Amino acid sequence: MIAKRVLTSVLLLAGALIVAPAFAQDVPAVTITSPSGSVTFDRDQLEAMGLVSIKTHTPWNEGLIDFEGVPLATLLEKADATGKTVTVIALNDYSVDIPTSDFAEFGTILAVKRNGDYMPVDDQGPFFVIYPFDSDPVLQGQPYYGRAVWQVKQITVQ
Amino acid sequence: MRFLRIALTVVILGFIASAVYISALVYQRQQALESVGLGNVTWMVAQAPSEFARLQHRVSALGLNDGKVTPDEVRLRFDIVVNRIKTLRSQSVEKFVQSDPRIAQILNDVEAALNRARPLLDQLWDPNVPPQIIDILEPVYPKLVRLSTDANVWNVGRIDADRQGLITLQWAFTYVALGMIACGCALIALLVIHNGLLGRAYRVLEENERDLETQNARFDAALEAMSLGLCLLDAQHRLIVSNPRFLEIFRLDHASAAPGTSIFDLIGDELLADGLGDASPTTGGSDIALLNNRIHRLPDGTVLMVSREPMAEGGWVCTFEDVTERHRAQSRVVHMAHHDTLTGMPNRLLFWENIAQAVRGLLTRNERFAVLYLDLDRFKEVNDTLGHPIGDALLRQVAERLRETASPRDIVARLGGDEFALLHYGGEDSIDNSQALAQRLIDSIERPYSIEGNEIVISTSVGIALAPTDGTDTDQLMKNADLALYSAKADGAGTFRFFSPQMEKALQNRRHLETDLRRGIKLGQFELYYQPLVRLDTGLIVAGEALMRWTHPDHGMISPGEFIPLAEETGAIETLGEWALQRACLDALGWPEDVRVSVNLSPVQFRKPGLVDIVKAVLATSELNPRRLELEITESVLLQNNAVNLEALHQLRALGLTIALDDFGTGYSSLSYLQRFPFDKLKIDQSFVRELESRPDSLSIVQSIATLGRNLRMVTTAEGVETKAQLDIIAGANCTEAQGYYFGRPMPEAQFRVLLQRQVSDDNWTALAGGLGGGMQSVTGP
Repeated sequence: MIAKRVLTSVLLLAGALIVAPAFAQDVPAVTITSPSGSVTFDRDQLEAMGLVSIKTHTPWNEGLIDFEGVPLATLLEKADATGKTVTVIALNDYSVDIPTSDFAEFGTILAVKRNGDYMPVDDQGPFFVIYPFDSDPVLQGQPYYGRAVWQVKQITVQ
Repeated sequence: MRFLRIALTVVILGFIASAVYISALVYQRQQALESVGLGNVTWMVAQAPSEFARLQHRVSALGLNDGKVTPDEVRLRFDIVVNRIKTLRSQSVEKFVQSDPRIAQILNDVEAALNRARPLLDQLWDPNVPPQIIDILEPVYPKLVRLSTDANVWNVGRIDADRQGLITLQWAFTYVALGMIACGCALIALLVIHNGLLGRAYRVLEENERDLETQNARFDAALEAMSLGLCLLDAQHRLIVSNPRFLEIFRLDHASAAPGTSIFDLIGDELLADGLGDASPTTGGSDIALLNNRIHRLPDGTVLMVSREPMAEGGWVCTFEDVTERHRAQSRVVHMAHHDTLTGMPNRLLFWENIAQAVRGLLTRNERFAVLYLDLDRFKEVNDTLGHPIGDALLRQVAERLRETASPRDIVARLGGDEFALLHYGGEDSIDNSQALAQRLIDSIERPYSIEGNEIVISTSVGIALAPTDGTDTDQLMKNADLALYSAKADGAGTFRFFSPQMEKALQNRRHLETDLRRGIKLGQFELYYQPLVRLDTGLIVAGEALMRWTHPDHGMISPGEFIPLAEETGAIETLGEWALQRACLDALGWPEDVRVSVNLSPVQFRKPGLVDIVKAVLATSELNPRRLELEITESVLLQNNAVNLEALHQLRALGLTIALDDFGTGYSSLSYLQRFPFDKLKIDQSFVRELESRPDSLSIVQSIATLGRNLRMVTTAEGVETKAQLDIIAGANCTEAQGYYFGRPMPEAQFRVLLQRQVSDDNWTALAGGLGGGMQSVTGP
């Protein structure tokens, strides 16, 4: 049932894309693809999933930042996607593989808001993979900094 | 050892310091590695040209207006570039940016270009706009490439620096590790030394332990071999250790005397009672106190000397010495000190103590008593004639009789020699009782004794002193009893006398007389009288017997019977005797040649050596023909000190003089004397002559002696001839000479000389006519 509705949405979305370029869309979205299919959630849908806050420092921001976003575990669950690894792809086509175990272990989120505001594309938006770097020294370095992908556009589950 | 400890501490501190330092190094290295991992600046920067190129490409594509590229996509690429530049402005790239001002300049230029292009993005539908944008962006791209190259160079430099740091760290690590190895080696060395020291200490300990064992073994051996019983007690009087002798003394076995047993379970508590040292003697007062001080008698008769000394760490050392033998010997010594060995009777010492005790009883209970002082008359003669063994046996029998005669409560003691004493409790009738006792004693002693075939008769005299009448102290009572005895003896054998104050007076008189006697010799108060000896066959005076006379300035003429014994007792007889000998020899020089002089020698004069020399000297100085000197001795000279006196007599006789035995027939008059010494003359005692007329046996004796003398070629002289009848009998009995009042009393020398001259001048004169110079017979006789 859910799959059918998602599929409908995707079709609708695809139709919209045809009518108006994707770039013109006011609400950014993320696409999750998996062997079972592909599904795209816009920011509103993501927010509807329930946001989780991670307050942490990052090498790319100044000061303590309050990130709010959807736990990736929740997101994959919503997308009905399971797998050991996800490949996160950014707008500039930068991609990185993240083991799905990180999500459960660290509560990694796909941040939607930074300090209560949506993030524009020219400033790390629209979505940002955030680890709670301050909570665990293990996270303060590679490979976790590399996995913190900004300007996320797509997540592929293998 | 102290140095070693310090060294060990230093090494261990070095270790700790090294460990801390290594931790710090490791941390530092971690940090360094971290920064290496962090530094993905190159990647961050390297993406910028590609993103920028994609923007340029999109803008160009839009300019071509082929519909493949939308203005939105251009704007998306623009935003991405803007985001990239922002990222390059972020802190992660800060170090790189700050490394060179040119880089900041490049970023500024890029931003400036982007800012110029931004307004144009809203007019992308205008075909002129894209070329403008391209114009703006065109010069930026090489700068970004340059930035990428710079980033690479900077990154390589940084990696190099990091590597250098790592190498430095590696070295430091190596040095510290070497230091730790050195410390470890030092530690091992120190531990080896320490172990060595410990080993040595252990050996010393072992050695000490062996020494202790040896010591213990020695102590054990000493304890085993000890003749004393020994035990150590703790403060609660529990046994700590004991030796075999201790067990033996108290007849204990090892099991019952295990350590920890209370000593009072093993031996009587009185043995270890406090204040033991001053315990009162366990037996009578006659024991020596020293021995009784810590003496205990066990039920089996063992006598123990117990000593209990406190130990420094509490508890006691007790020793038990078996002194049974010593105690027995000591008791024997004590008994011997208080008893006479011959009779077993109390001796003088104990008797003295008994009297002292009696005196105390007198003072406290008013209990009267008497002291009886006895000695045997003429005991000395028994001893001398029959020998000491017989004398001793006699004394034992006398002692036995005294004990039998005395009442059980009386104390009989032998004071020495033939002196005995009795302490007699006479009660109220002390005088009567004592008198009766004294008489019983005299009677008892006088019964004949039979000892080894000899029948001995002896008598005793008793002096009695009564307490408290005659004294209330020991010395006084004994002295008074002695005085009474002296008095009794003076009154004749076999009598008793109570003490009376006159006796003391008499004694004092005697003392005065003694003094006077000595002075009298010096002052020439003595003179010699002569009594003629008449030869019976010729009737002529053949000799004069010299007899001493003393005219006392106060008391007048004093009897020789009084002063001769006194002189003999005091020893004055020696001077007096020598004077008499000298005087007599000188006197005789004035007499006719055929008249001899006869001088008495006292037995006392024989006691001192030199009598012979004196006689020799007197003869030499007087130049009297020795043949004219006759010495008279009594048989007592032969009784005492027989051999020596006999030798002296032989020597005297060898001088040429003659020796007469005086008073023959009284005393023992043993015929063996006559055998022992060749006397020249026997003088028959006057008692026989006096009784000639009344007792026929006296005549027989006189006759026998006269016959004996003739047969032995000895002259016999009858003494004490007083009447014509006696003279006739004597003459009939064939005596050689006679002497006595009938012929003349002792007379002064001048008178005697006149008598001799008359005899020479008158040829028909004979002394036998009697009554020689009757007027002169008023002189006091001998």
